[in-house]
Amino acid sequence: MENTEALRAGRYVGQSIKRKETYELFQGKTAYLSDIEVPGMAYAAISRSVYAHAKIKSVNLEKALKFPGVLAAFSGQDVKKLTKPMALFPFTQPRPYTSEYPRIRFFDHYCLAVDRVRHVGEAVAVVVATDRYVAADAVEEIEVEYEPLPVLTDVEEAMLDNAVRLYEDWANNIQYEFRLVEGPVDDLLRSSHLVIREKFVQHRYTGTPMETRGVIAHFEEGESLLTVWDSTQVPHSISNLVLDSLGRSDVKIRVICPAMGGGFGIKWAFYPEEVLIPLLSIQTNRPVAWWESRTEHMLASHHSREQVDYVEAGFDATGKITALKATVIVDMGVAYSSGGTSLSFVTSNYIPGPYKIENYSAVSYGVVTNKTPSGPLRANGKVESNFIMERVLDQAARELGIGRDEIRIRNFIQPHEFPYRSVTGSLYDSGDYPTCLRMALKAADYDRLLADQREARGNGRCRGIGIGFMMEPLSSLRPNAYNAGYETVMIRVDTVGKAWVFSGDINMGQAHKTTLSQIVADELGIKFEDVQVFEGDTALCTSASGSYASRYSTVTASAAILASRKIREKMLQIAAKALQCKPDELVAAGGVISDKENGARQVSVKAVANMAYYSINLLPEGMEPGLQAIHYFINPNTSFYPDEKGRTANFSTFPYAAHVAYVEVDERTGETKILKYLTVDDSGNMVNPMIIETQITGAIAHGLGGALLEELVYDEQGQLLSTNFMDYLIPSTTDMPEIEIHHMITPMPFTPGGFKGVGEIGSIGPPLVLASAVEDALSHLGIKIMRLPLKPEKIWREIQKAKGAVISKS
Amino acid sequence: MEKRISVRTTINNKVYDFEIEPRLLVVDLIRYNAGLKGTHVACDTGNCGACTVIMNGLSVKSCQVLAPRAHGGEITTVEGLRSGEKLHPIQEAFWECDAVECGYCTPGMLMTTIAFLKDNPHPSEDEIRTAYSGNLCRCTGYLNIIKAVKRAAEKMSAS
Repeated sequence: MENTEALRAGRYVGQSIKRKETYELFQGKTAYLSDIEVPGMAYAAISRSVYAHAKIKSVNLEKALKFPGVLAAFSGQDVKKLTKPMALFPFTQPRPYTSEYPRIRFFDHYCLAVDRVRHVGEAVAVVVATDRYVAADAVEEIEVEYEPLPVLTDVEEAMLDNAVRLYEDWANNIQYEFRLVEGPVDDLLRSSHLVIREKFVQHRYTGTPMETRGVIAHFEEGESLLTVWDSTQVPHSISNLVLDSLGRSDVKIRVICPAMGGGFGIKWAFYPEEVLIPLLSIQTNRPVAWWESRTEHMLASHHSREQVDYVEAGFDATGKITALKATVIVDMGVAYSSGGTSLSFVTSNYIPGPYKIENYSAVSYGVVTNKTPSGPLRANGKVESNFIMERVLDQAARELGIGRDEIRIRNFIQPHEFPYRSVTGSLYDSGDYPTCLRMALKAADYDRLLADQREARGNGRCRGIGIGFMMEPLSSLRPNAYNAGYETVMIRVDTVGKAWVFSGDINMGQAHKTTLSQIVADELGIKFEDVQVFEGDTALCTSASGSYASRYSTVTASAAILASRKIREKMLQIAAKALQCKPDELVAAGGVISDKENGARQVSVKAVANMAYYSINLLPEGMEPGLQAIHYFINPNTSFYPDEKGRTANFSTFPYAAHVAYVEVDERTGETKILKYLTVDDSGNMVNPMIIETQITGAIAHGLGGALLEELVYDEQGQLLSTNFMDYLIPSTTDMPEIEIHHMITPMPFTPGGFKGVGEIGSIGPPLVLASAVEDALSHLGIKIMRLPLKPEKIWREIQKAKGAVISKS
Repeated sequence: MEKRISVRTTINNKVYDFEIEPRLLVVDLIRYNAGLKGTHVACDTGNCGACTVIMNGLSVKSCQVLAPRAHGGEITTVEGLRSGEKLHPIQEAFWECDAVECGYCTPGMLMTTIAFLKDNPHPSEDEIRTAYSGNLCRCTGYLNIIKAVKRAAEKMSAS
C-alpha cells in the first residue's frame, strides 16, 4: 500500500486520500457476486412471464426435469407448499403507522407467481442444473399456459373505480395514500395575485448498476446454517426477511454482500430470488447460484420515478409563494411488498423544499399497474419533488417578470432561520441557500451568459440558461421497519495496535473502507494504514439498516467516531497510568500517545494494546482487559411518530446545491447540447474531497441520463420495449459535459462529524436545470417543459407544434 | 449438449488446453475454464465493454466472441496487466485520478486503454471520448476516466 506518511501533518479527515479498496480491483482480484465459487455449486435459471397480466393455467416441468444435467425444477404451486408468502419490506408489519396516513395495502405473494402474473418478467418457474449453459437451455423446456387478462399501463386509468383490479380483494388499485393539509390553502390560492397550475409527467427510468443482481445460497444441513451471498444494499434486513419468508425458524442465516458493482437504490429491496435461491439450496442440498442477465435486470429489478403530478401554486405580486397544493400519483407497477411506496411519500413531503412555504396541502397515491415494480433510485422522490418546485418557480418568474434567481432568493428559508421546521414536519438542520445560489451564478458568470445568449439569438441560435436549486432530505428513519434508521460500528484495537472496524453499512462504490479508515485513524490517533474495515457480513457485523439515503455520513460516520472515542478514552487511561499522569493531559496521534503540552512523555498505541491484552497487571485497577467498543447511532433530528398535525420528521439532514447549465438547442433537430454545467454543493464537512467530487460527478451523470436519454417504454400490452443497453441508453463518454464543482460548507449540527451526505444530490439537478435551460432556449416559441426526457425527437415535435401554432395564429 | 472440441489458447502468457462446447463464449472461457474472474459481464449485448480483453493485439468484447475463435490465439486480461512489483502505469493513472467507484466496469476500461494507447499514444480529449463510448460506467460520470487515460498516456510516453 501507498505510504500516506506525507499526510501526517494534519488530520486524515478532509484530505483527498486515494481509495484503499481499489488496489486489488485494478488487478482483477476483487470478487463480485458472480466471481464467487462454492464447491459443488449448481446454477438456477428462471422462467419469466411473457404477459403483462394473465392467469397461469398450467406449468409443466416434465420436459425440463428430463433435460440432462437438470437437478430440480419448481413452479409457483410448489413454492407455495414450501414457503410462506414473502415477508414485507421495509416494514416489519402491515400497519407500521398508527396515524390515519399513510395508508398502505399489501398483498401476499410468493417467490414464484402462483396463479396469476401481473407484469412481464415476473418469475414463474425455475430450474436448477449443474451448468449455467444447461440451466439456460432447460428453462426453455418449461411449458407455461397463460390466459391473458386486460392490461393496465396508464396510472391515471388504473386509479379509476371501474378499472380492472390487479388484486381481487382490494377495492381499487390504490396501494398507498397519504394526505397532509397545513393552512387555508384553497382560500389563499383563490386570493393569490398569480396561480400557476401545471401537470407534470415524470417518466419511468432506472439505475442499471453495471453489476446486475445475484444470489448464491449454500445450506449446510448439519449445522442448519444457510449462507447467502447477495448483491444487496440491505444485508441485515435480508437475513431476517429470508428466514421469515422460508418459515424456517430452525435455520441460522449469514448474509454476505461481496464487492458490489453499484446499487443506486435498485439493490435496496427484497426480491423474490432472495427467497427462491436459498429455497433451492435447501431443496437440492447443494450450493445454488443465480444472477441476472441484463435483460432480466431490466424486466425484474425495480424501476423508478414514474408519476403524474398536479400542482397549484399561489404567488403574491412580489413573487412570494402564498400557498401550494399538490396531487402526486405514482405508478407503482406491481404491488410487490418491497418499499416502492417511499416514492409517493418523499415526493409529496418535499415539494416545498428549500422555500419558506407555510400553507401546503398534498395528497399522494401509489397506484398499481401491470409494470415492473417501482422502488427507490438515487435521490428517490427528491429528483421528482425538486423538479416540480423548480419548474413552478420558473413559470412564476416569467409570469411576474422577476428574475429566476430573484424569485428563488425571495422565497428561500433564510440562514438565520435554521434549524427550520418545514411545513411537512422535518427539521432542516443548517444552510445558507442565498449564498449558495449567488455563488453558482457568480461562478457561471451569469451576466456574461446572458450577453452571450443575446448575441446567439441575434445569430439565430437557441441558447438557454438553466438555474436550479435543490434540497435533499437524507438519512431516513422509520417506525417498525427493518430499515429502522440507525447504524452500528464495532471497533477492536488488536494486540499490536491495529484497528479492526466492523460496519453494518455496505459499500457499493462510495469507498467506505477509505473514508472510515480516515475517520477512525483520526479518532484513535493511529495511522490510516493501520485501520482495516469490514462490511456486508451479518456474521461479523452487528445489525444495521444498510446503505441508502446517503446515510453513511450521518449515521455510520457518527457511530465510527463515537465507538472510536470509547476506545481512545480507555487507551488514554492505560497510557496515563503508565506515564504517571492524567488521561486528559495526553493526546493520541500517529500511533503514539504523548503529552499534549510538549510530547516529552510517550507511549505507543502498540504498547498500550500490549498492556490491554497481555500485561494486564499494568492496567488501572478494576479495568477490563481488551480494547473493543460498539456504538449504535440513531438518526438524529427525527421523530418516529407524526406530530399532532400528522407531520413526520423522518430525515436527519438536508444538504443542498445550486446548478447552472448553459445549453444550445438545435431548432432543426431538437438536439440539446450542454455548453456549460456547474454545481455549488453544501454537503457539510467533507471526509475526502476527491471522493466527494467523483460522487457528485457520477450523480450528475445519472441525472443527465434521466434528463436526456433514459426511458423505460411500455407498449399498450405492457411489454417493456427497453430491455438492454441498445434500447435503454445510459450516458457514455460522448454524452458527458465538463462539470465544474464548487463547495460551500455549513456543518451538520446534530452529528459529531458534521458531515451531511453527498452521494445522491447531484442526480437531482440535471432534470430540473436542463428543463429550465431548454425552456429558456426555446422561450421565443413559448415552449414549456413539463415532461422529460429531453430527447431530440420530443423537443423537435414541441418545436414543430409551437411553430404550427404561430403560423395558424397569424 | 454439443460435442466438445479442443481449444489451445494463451492467456496472460500461460498456455491452456481446453475441451469445450463450441458455443462457449470467450468471456466464459476466461472466467470459468481459466478461472480468471477479473473480466466482467454486464450487458450480454456488446454495448458496455466490461468484458473487454486484448485478443491477438486488439481490444475485443469477449462476450461477443465464441471460444473456438481463441484457438491458437493470445489473450491478455486485467490479471495480466501488472508485471513485477509496481502496478502498470494505466492502473496507477486510474488510481491517482480516482477513475473508479464500484469498479465493475474498470477491468474493461483498463484493457481498452492498453489497446487505445498502443494505437494512439498521445490522444486528444475528443479522441478519448470517441474511443471509450463503447465502455459504459454507471458510477463515475467518466470525467476522471478521461483524465486517467490522459495521465496514463503521459506516464507511458515518459517511461
